[in-house]
Amino acid sequence: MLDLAVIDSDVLVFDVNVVKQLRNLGILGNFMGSLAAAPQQNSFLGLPLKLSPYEILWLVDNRQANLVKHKGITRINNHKEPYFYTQYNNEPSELEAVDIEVIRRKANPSSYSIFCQLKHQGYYLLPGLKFGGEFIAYPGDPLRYHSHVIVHPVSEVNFYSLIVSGRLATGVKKLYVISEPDETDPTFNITFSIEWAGFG
Amino acid sequence: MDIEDDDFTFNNILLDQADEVLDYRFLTQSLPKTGEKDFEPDGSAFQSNKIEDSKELMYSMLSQELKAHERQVVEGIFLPWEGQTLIVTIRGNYFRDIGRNIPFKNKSAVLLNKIETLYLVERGTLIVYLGNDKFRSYLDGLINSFSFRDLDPLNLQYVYGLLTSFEIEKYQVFAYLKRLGYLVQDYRHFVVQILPDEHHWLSPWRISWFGSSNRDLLGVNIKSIHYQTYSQILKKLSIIPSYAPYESLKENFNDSEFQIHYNVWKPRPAFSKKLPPTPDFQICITKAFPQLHDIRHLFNQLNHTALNIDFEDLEMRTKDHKLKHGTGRTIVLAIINNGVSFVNLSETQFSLTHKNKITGYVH
Repeated sequence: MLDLAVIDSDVLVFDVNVVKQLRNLGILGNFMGSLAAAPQQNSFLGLPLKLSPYEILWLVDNRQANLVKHKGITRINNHKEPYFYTQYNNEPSELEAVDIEVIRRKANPSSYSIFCQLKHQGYYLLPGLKFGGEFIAYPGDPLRYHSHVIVHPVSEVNFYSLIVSGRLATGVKKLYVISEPDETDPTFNITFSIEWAGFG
Repeated sequence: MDIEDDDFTFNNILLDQADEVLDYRFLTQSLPKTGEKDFEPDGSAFQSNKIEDSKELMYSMLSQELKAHERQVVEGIFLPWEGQTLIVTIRGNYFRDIGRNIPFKNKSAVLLNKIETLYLVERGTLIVYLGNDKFRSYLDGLINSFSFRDLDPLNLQYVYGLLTSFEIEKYQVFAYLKRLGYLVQDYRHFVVQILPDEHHWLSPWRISWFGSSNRDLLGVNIKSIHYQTYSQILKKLSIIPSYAPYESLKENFNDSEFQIHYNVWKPRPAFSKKLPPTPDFQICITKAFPQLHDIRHLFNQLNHTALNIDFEDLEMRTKDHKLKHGTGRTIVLAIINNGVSFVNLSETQFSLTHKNKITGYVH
């Protein structure tokens, strides 16, 4: 199991080996630091990796990770090397367990339900705000594959937003999928996909 | 590599695909730029090898450290009791927009907030030490000198750990803009003065001409009032309702939690930290799109139009341009959805003209 350090109510990963392990589990996260090779652009970012609440919940609920908090200061006691600084230090320090409820409060239950279901089906998921949904789903690692699906949980169907999202999805060559957890079994989601039918 | 040089070379290849995840392959010249991604996994070894290559490249990129030139490195002391970092020896070009200059032991020093500290630490240009009791005694004048060797250096993770979750989001926006070379400061209110109408005084004979007319022009009775300026007459003649953006400033909408967080300027050679010019952009950081009353509340916090409008240039612009970009207040929403998306909110101006000239200064 991985120990993930919590800062306030976020999980930031500073160790590239942990990034590897997470990626192998299909957890992508979002890089937020400057990349050494190209520090003045934002398309490619570097460590730390920030995990979304859904990714954190999934890791903890599937017993892949523990949340911990560093007590006190992690220090690097090396005054000679002037650049020791940006080294990502994993020196063990005193750890303290963190209550997962801090994270669960930030997550929408029906979004988490569809996240788990798609994750189980092998999709890679990333936040989907830029495409007007909760997630976008990739059929494999997003480094290699395009995403085809925009996923959005809804509690009621609003025809106006169906049209808006359907048009948007068609415009970006993706499928718009709405989902809702089933009343009898909340781990199972009912899903519909929206596509323009080209009668003519 | 001088990291203060703006480096926009990657942007050309990135513009088209910025919304989706990119392959780190784009970053390197040595590897072939395949450019294309695949539609879906086909189970072939060819594809899985490509994925492994891409991942390995990404991991090796992530493992590199950002280092500044030794002579550009600045040392600072984080003062936990202040929540700020003190920099005694100022060097380099980093403090043009960030930090507050303070007098310090007959010299000048700079205080950085936590977000500014983190940005410089991450770039490898600031080494930050944790201020202790001994250093505090030095600040209080009880000891005459101090050495960095008496202090513990802090690592990047520690500096991140000083932030709250909201400050982490704020940092994402701050760093995003700084990487692109923008000048960024915490939002400060601009006080606005609306100047009285620019008086194109009517000459006396014109007043008498209007005054003596008994006709209703377009149903507007202009006979019984004395008009002294053109604006007064034009206002009276305006029969289709419209307004210039700053005229919409009315009551305050205090029930909104939305607020503006940053003033942002495009890179410019001369910039006064103390008396900055009117910002080019003003940024509100949010997780959700605001409702109409939130938007009005935001605009009310910006109680001025874009003050650095070139009015002559404005006259030259087309109507469509004015409607699309507005000529008044503009707020940029930085929406956090793990990454950052920017949305521009402009107040559309249907009156297509400014009736008053205004001026402002930073408060």
